[in-house]
Amino acid sequence: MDSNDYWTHVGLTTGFFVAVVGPRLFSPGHAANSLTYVVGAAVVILVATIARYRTNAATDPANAGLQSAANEKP
Amino acid sequence: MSVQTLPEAPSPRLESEPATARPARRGAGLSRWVAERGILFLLLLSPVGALFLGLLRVVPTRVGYLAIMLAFLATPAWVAWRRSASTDPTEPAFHLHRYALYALFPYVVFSVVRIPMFYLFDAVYWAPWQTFGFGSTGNPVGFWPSLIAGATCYSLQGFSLSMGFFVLFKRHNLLNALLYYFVFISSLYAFVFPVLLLRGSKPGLPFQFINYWAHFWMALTAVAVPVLLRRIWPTLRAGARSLTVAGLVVVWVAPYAFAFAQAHLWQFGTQARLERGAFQTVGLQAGSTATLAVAGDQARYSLDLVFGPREYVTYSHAHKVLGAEDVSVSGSLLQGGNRVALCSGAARSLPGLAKVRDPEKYFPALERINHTAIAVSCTGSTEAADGIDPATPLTFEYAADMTLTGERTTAPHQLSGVAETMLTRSIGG
Repeated sequence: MDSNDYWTHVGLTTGFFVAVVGPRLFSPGHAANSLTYVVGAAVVILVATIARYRTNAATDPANAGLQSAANEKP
Repeated sequence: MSVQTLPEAPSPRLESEPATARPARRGAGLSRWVAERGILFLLLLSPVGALFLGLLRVVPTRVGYLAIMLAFLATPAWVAWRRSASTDPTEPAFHLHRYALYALFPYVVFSVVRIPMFYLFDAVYWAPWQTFGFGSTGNPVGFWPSLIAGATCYSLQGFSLSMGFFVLFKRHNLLNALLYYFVFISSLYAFVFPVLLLRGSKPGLPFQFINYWAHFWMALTAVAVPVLLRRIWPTLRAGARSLTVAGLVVVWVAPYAFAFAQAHLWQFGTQARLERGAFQTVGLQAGSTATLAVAGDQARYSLDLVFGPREYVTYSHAHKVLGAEDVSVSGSLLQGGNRVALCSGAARSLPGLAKVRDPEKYFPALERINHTAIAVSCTGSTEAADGIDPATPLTFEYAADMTLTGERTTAPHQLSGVAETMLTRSIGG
């Protein structure tokens, strides 16, 4: 995942949490709705982090060297 | 399915760069992001921003929609400046025309896939449109003006959310689309609608299922449309292109045509029938006690008539209360066949729920006014009051004229009745 896209996911989920969800988090009668947002935001950040980590690993020069060495094996 | 509509941006790793330079680079990166994407995103998101300004009570809803006008003026100027100032060909300002075309479809598909849900769960997907229409224009829910205005607001909001995807992200691939539409926006929708918007409704599992279902298809559409228009379209012959355009037009028109046809053919008539049914259910019940006060040679009796139940359920499954205006009550208090006082009462209108904007407070408020007391005052002579046997109930004969109002229907109505009431307290008598 591209750095811009990763930080956009993180920024959107945390930004809306701070501005909209946080002040009303677990307000009476809305525990399930609050939990839905928190879980959704956590899933976004977790999946984006994994995708970002995999991209970094794939573009890391050290990994790239190992990869090319592996490719050169007969 | 994965589409990369823009070339991979180089991400050089500056291993030799001193650590102290990184915060400065991050700051510069953030500034660049704000200039290239952030401000454009905020301008394009103004229809959603306007909705949030109203929902969060920052400004009145109708004032919030002024933000769209300001953004409408500012966006061309900002884009023109970015096009002249930017040296990055991947900057969204250079691709807005394509993004605007792509963004026409995800929000429409969002409603197309809710048409089957109308039959499965009886979920009226255009009901929030009418709420948006009421919020933006003040026209009452359940009529054409609020429906048309609301459909326009919905379209602007959906379009701006779709533009957000194309402007904010560099890679318009399936992973980003699913995280943005299917997970993030669905989760936000699952919070915002019940907590801030849906007054009088009790969204349950079907609401959440439809929310995730529709946003999932929105994500797929956001990825598929660039594929169709950039990769497949150039390979099509004239006939296939005509068919494609016809198909896209049908998809685009379908949710609006379905909603307007349902509203015209079924909703308005059904709603009127529901309200007429509620008009027949509502009644007036006299309180069990009356209070007497004597002033000079006049005896005044105070008692209540309770009007209710006022709650009814609309075509869109929203719980509302019947209104009553110009209520005029007349009647008599009798004992042993002798009239002891003449009664009257009036109310210009009964309390409603229009000012209860918080969904959380809606149902408690509805419960409070579901049965509304109307004060009635009776006047008789002190001689007649002296002759009342406190152990024998008074007979209260009453009749009331009023105008009942529902979402769509207004009708004159008469209610009458006879009740027994005890004179429980006597002041100065």
